[in-house]
Amino acid sequence: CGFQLRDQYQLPPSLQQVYLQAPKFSEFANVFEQRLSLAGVELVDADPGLVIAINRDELSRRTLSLSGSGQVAEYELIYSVDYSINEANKDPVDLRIEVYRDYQDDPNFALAKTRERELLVAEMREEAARRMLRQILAQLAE
Amino acid sequence: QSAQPKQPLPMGVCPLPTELFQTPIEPIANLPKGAIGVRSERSDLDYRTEVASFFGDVEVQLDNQQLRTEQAQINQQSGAINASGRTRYTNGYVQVESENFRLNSAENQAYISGAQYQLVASGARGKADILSLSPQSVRLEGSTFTTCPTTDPAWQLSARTISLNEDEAFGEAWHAKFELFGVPVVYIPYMSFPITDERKSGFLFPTVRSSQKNGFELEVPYYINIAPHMDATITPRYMAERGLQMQGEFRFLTASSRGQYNLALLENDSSRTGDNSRFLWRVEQEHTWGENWRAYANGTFISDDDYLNDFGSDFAGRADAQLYRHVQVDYLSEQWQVTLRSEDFELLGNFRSPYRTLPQISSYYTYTGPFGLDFDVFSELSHFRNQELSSDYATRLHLEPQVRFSLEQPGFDWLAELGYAYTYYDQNEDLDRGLQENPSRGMMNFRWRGRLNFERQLEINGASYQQTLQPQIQYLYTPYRDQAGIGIYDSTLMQDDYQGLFRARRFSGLDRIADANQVAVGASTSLFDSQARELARLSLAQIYYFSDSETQLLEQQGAIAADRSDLAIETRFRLNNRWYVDSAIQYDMELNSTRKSQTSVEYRKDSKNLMQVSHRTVTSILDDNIEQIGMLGVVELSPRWQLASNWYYDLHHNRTNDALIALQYSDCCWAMRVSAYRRIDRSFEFFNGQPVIGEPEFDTGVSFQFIIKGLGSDNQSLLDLLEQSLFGYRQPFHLSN
Amino acid sequence: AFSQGKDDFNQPIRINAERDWVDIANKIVVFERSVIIEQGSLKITADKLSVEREGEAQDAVFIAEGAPAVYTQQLEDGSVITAKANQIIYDQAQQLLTLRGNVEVAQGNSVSRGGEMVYNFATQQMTTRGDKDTDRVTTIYMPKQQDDKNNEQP
Repeated sequence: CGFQLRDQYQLPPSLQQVYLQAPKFSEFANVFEQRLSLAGVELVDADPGLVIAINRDELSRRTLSLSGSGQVAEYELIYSVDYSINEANKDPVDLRIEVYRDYQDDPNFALAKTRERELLVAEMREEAARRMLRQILAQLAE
Repeated sequence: QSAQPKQPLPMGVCPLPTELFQTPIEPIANLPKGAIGVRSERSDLDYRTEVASFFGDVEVQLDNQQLRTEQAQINQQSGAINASGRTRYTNGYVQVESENFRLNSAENQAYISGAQYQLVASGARGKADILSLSPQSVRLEGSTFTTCPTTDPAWQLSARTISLNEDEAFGEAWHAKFELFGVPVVYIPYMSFPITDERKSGFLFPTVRSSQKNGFELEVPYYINIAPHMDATITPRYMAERGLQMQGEFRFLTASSRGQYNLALLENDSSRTGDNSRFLWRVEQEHTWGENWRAYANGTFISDDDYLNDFGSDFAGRADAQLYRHVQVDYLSEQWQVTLRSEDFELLGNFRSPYRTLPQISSYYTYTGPFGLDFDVFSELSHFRNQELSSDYATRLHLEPQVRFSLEQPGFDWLAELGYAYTYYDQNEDLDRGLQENPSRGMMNFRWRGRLNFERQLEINGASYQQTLQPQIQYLYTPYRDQAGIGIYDSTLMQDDYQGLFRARRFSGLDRIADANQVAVGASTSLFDSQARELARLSLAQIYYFSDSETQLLEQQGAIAADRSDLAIETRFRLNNRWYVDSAIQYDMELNSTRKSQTSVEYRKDSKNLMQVSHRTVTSILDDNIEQIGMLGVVELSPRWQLASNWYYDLHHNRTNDALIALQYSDCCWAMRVSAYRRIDRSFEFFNGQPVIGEPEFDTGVSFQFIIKGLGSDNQSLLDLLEQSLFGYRQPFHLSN
Repeated sequence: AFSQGKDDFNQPIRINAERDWVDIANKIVVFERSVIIEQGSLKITADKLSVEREGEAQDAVFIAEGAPAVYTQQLEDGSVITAKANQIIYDQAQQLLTLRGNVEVAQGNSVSRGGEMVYNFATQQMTTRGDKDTDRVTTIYMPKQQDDKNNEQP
């Protein structure tokens, strides 16, 4: 049916050496750094081919449904990452990733549900990092 | 030095009215800094009085100040300049037209009477009996202020004194009358108002509302710019049915720390008998020091369970059932992540009393070894305390070393994890709940996950697409351990959507680690267009159990006897760049029923024209079923008129949970929003100690808001108004972990 | 500032030039080529000077021309006034000094340029106007305080 294994990442030359700029203590920066190194990108401090600047990552929550008593039954977690790509002698491109997951609230297990939310957020960071790499590859290919 | 070039005006602000100072003066050749240059048809110099008089289209220049007048006198001795006849002046920040002008160039102070003025950047303008100018600030006595270009402005502020400062985002007015269409509407002894667009976020304009519960409401925010890194906002909120609530917010921001403190206090809520002081206070503070240390605290406290429902808040949704508070200190380095924290909950309504962590210290150490192996050790020491039952407490120690091998190639990636988890408890023995005093538990777990990445090019009626297919398989093994003697502090059954099926654990927290001998199989396929934009995605996954999983929470909850899990299906596709369809289904193979399904169809032209319809069903959550449909729409009727509406209907309890319709008229210097809403009014009256959870009532209301524009380009689309409705509200969360 | 100029005008006038001749009919004495007129602290340098005497008080009218003719005089406060113009006319009888043709007067902390300038010694009033080619008068002041400030700076 025409499918074959993807043979190699078409890593564009500018993505060989990247400098990642992120706010201090950024959990997402660690996750994304790992994703970059797993994909074979080298992180450098001096004259990189490309600077990826993580400007902001943000988690917000939205009510999805109400229970019989009129209190929240389900939330939607929205994890968003605002970042920009600055290629040498090109003007920076601002991009944004949004990852959605819904989770059920249960006040009877308040602490346990908090742990579940923390695990969900960690999974959403992984997903955002994967999508961000794919979006950067697409952007550089243009 | 001619006047600076005009900066481009922020989009959406009124077209700038004709300038008061049209043609800048030809710069006078080699005019030294601080010197006064004058050009005129005639000049008379009286050597006795050292006063020079100039006549005939006089142009005066002093640094970046320019003056055009018919007649001017300059005292050579003091450098004082007086002008009379039709006079126009600018200093790059404000332009003034008047019948006279006095400038003392030594102290750089100018005084003008009977003046028309206009701010260069924002186009705000007005008149003043006396206008005094110093390098960056303008002080207007007996003056008016508006941003409307027309001669009879829609709104205008007339005040005894107005002070504007070039590098302040806010102007101030004393003894001000706010006039709407020429009619004075409200007298305000002192008010601050934004004069540039980097104003403080959030609404800073008077809001008028009326609802069944609160009656007529008026909310007027005052912004106080205390210092460059400190500001405060005082917002009195008058409610006819309840009284005057004072809301205050204080913020500070320095290089290494920031803080925000809020208090909203209503002394006595006249709509309630008995203890009727209603308040909400909140603290959020963060400090970082050194290279690796960070401390963070965040907590919201309310006077009673109905507070959020009755007053709403920026920090919690109206229908939220709990408030989470925590204080924590982090040490983060390349290899170490250590967190010391304490968490607390306030539950709104009658629920199982929650556990606090007093405190919990967790550490995560990771070390990258050779041959792609990663070693990490997760450890945690927690002390749990039941908020109400003082005898219910426990201390838990958990150690979990793990070795991980991950290999990622373009065509495939696989991950192998081998770990050992040891947990020791020190609990208060409780025989009837079967809790032992010092239970402990140790078990290994093994996980292997493999993924293949297939690709192919597709030609569909002429256009070329790329399709990816990513099959994924994960084997998980954890032996069974009897954990009945262990209390349940931070564990609950987690929901399994597509990603959830590939987790290493079924229960959250550490009190229950489920035995597992299972394989999860799934596949996800996506279609990308030539610009690598994802047009469609279909993912489905399911777990096959080789043996039952006996670990459970309470009374059989969470144990697994079936041989297959639910089938999780997720699909998302984009018909064209305007139509989107998004759907996720969890199908229970045993009961042949849909456990959870969510579908939404969206037509989006831009942020001012979109329509979304969504349907959601969930079975057995909070021992109830949920089926709700929602509609959300924003449409731009004309460049000035916008309509927005949302409506959420609960099919299971057949009632409207939330409905809102809003109309916005926006002119260039003002906007007006009228909205009507109907939403759930959940109140927890207690009937001898037990909450009366009957059918919730409903509150309907109307809100009217007059927005001053042009002071800051406040041309948000109505979408943000919808975000303030129950379902649209996005409450920001701190990313502490 | 010009007041001191009056005493200058009681001093004897010394004129010297490379050449001079008399037009007896019109009772005009003409001096030519690097003409210098001095009277007390007043000094005029020009290319040509013609002196007319008329009326019974024999008051003279001095007409100096140059490219430009330069008029300098020391003032009471020690500062010097320099005025340049194509033509400088001093009328003794009317106590008027008239400068015409891209006139520039620098005095103390001010410099002004114009087409025509008239100074009345009696009233100590100076009026400047544009003329056909430089139609506007330009004056630049360095306010006194500014000066003192500049002097204070090391």
